[in-house]
Amino acid sequence: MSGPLEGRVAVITGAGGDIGGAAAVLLAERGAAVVAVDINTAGLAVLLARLPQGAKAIAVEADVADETAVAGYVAKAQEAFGGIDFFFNNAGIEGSRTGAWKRITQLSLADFRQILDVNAKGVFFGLKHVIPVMAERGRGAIVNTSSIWGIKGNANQVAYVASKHAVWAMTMTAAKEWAANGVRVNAIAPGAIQGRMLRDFSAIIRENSPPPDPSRPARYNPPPFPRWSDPREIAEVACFLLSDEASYVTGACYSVDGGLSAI
Amino acid sequence: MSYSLDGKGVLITGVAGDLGRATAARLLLAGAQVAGVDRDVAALARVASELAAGEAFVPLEGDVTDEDSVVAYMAQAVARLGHIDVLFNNAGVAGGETAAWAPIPTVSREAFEHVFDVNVIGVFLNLKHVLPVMQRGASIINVSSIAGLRPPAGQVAYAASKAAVIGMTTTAAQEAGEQGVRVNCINPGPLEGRMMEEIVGGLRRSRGGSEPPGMRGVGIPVGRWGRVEEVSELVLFLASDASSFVTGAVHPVDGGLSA
Repeated sequence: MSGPLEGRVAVITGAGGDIGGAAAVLLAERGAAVVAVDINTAGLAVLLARLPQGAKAIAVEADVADETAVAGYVAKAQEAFGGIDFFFNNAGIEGSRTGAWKRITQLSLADFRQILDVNAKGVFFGLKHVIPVMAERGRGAIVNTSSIWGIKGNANQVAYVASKHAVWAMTMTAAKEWAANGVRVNAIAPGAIQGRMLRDFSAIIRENSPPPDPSRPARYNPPPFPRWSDPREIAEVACFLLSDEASYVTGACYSVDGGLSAI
Repeated sequence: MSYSLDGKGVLITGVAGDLGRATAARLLLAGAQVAGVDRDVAALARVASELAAGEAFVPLEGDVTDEDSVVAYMAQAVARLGHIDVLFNNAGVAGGETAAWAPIPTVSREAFEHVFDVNVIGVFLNLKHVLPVMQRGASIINVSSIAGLRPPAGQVAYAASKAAVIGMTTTAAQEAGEQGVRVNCINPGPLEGRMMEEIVGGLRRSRGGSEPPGMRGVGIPVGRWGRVEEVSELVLFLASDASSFVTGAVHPVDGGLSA
């Protein structure tokens, strides 16, 4: 594949999901070799079929919450393509049917832990094992997927909110720690995305919420953009931050939420 | 990356400054037609000749603090470009010799008002008069600063004015969302160029002539000041359709300084 990113290698976790998949397609379209990581092998197979013809890509099944598996996908990327230029540390979950939408007092420790394991520990393990590969060559760019709920609070999502705030904190820490080694680390904070997570999530919210109370007023300020985003619109921002065009951007979190966090 | 502005009309204020000029060059390269406003006629002519873009660059004399002038150059820009799809709301000042870096008790009311006239009133007047002529898909990029996110000592007027720009960005994004217009701001850290030399000059004076050690690198995670060309890439991204779901957002480009 020729393009501005020809000869560069991108590792993407959660590549079987909507945002990760859109980023893999964008990066491959621009010429990068893609290492697509996910725990969901069916999702990976669908993604590989979507990549443009001639794209260089491998799929690696791995659980980002398992440190051995993380070391494994990093090693496979190096074996296949000789290094890592871009790392989209993106895998994340909203939680199970029982854990995704609960008040603090109702949430079990097991559900809390599951969300933190993937969203926070998974991001930590990714940073821990990818950064040395980049630092050794003195260059590399990382984008972590935080969330609008990584910069604001949201009722009924204590674990998700905590995990995504942790992602933002690790972004700032890693940026300061590794800037001198030529590694940039940034975050994106997506709002609502048209895709699997929001579909499942809407069903979970309906199951777990009391019927609406007509006596309570509707929200005063509607969101600036009256629509959900296409995953590709989120991936564009991640790809900008990964690219050399963002050479002076590190330790930053760019919102991609149609203005939702501005309210 | 090849973000395209083919066929788009862009208005840039403060085009004769370092960031304005570099951004005009970058957006022209991406295919835009650019109307560039500055109040310094001589500098404007120099920029036009340096850019050597022919019909694609339209120099317009104007003063962002004067509403009649804003109305007039907006009309000229529409007449010459056909439409304004992007506003780079960039004109700004650090405060000049006496106020770019000075402790609060030494800042004159006049110096404070001058910073607010350009950085706050100027941004407001451009928003006020560009929004009515913008179509769905248009994009506005306001220039805030790291000083608006993490106000430092010695920059009371500048930091307050740049925080005000963040406020106007989120307000305008909410008001313009329905119209399909995006409004964002960028928050540069220290950039090589005239403005930082002015700020460092004030700092030097306050210290009896010496520059603080490491002023130009230590304390910035990446160890250096940025270049205006690096910021112009972010402006291009926010101007382009690739950032179609980005609005009301703050964009540090500061080598990690605000982290």
